[in-house]
Amino acid sequence: MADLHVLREVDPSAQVAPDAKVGERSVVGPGVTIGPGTTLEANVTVIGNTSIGSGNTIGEGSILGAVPQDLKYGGNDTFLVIGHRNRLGRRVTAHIGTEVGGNLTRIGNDNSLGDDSHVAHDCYVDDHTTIGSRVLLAGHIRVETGAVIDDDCGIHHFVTVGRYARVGVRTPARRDVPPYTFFTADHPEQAPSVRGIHEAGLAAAGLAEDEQADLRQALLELFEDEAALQTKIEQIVTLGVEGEVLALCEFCQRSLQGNYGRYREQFRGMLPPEAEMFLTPDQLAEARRWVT
Amino acid sequence: MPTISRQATVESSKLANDVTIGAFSYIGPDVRIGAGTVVGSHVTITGRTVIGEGNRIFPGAVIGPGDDGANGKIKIGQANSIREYMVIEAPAKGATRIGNDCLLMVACRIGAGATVGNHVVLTNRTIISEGVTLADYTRSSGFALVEPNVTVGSYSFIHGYARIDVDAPPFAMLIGDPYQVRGINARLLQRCGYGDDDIRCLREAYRDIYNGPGRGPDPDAIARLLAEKKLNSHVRQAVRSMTGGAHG
Repeated sequence: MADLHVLREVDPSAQVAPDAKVGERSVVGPGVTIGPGTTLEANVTVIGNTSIGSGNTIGEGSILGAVPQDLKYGGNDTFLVIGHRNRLGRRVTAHIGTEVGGNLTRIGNDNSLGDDSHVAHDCYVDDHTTIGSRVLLAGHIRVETGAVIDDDCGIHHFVTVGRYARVGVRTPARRDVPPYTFFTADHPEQAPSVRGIHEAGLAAAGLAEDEQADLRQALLELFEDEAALQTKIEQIVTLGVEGEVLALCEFCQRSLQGNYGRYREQFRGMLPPEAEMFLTPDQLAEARRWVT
Repeated sequence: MPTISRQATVESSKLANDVTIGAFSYIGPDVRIGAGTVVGSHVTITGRTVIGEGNRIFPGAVIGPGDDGANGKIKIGQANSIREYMVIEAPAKGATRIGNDCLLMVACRIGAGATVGNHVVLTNRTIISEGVTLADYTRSSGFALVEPNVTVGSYSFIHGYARIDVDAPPFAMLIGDPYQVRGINARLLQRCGYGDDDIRCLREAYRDIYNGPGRGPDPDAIARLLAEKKLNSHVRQAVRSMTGGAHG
């Protein structure tokens, strides 16, 4: 029998794994799935069409699966999917998706979300990310694997935070953050920019020595003068680069082509490219009813 | 009968018939809640609070006096969304008021004695200090701060991380800490049915008014505009609001 504390409200239709822990005064709504080894601390609310995988820790007072804060949301049973081994801090809020945004909000595996952080509708948080306290992820954001977002950052909707990038404390990121870079501003009114290489990210990515060296050189060349980024990308790509360096160039190219430096802007009112990867065939069919 | 979770504590007898109260919520004795309002789990509503019809109050919200001496009222209109961990405080006397159709997002704070109009949208972590007035259709982005007793005009947009330290005009984009006026909120005006002509007049007028040496409105530009015979009515309204109140 699951370790369900006496003072709790778990809907009979919720699927709670036998060894999941539901803390004191926590609420689990109908249709919720909670996997084995996951711990909900005290005062947690999990509602909506939310599924939580195995081995997660959900901090006190977190509220998962409430409806989106989006005036376009039509009231359907969209999804919030949380993978495995994530650590969510206290009072973390995450919302289900919207119909026009692809129906799904997803938090992958092995992520760490700080106290009071917020994951809005239709966000895709990949794996091994570190998201600080009070970070606001607006709608439709992609946070790629290994990214670090420091405390008090506000990430604009449709932004992509690249692999193993770091966004400095209290930075309003209004455009895409390139992979492996350190992106910040001196104060919130200043337009933030790439300030250097996120060395800890490079180390964490587990790249070979020579690949690291190539990547470091490409980063220095690309962001030496961001006004010339387009030319630099073309120069580097014509050298016939591959692997992470090519991926970096392609990321920067996509951001340049997107509105306001945000690649994902073009998926407004469309299924995002990740939907096919993460939605089940049934869910995908449902999502296609609303958008192309 | 209202639908009340058996894990909730409700001391008030003034709940409309189809009100829903979630688990582990507490509703104090002097609270009135109108028809169709849904209160989530872990919500605390205390003090002399009147909540209208069709509101949605999400888990963790706290509505009531911040300290024991605050004996004023809280009046909330209809069809508002009060999101997770919102805090609305009661004043010592008088009332904290919220209009209709507002969306007040996660972890925002409405201070004691503040007045929030209709159709206001506040993004996460916006702090509205005590005694503030937000006119209809005001919007804010994340981490915005409005200082005590300041008025923000209608259709204005408070940018992320901006600080509103003195009264702000209507129709404006308010950016920075402390804020500066940077043009008009044209997209919202368009959505709300303002004509291209009105928007053009407002844009030109604001360009004049906020082009002076200081960050406040330029009195010479205002005088020039008011001298015009065929001044656009929205521009006249905006200019009057800039000269009417005591700025700061």
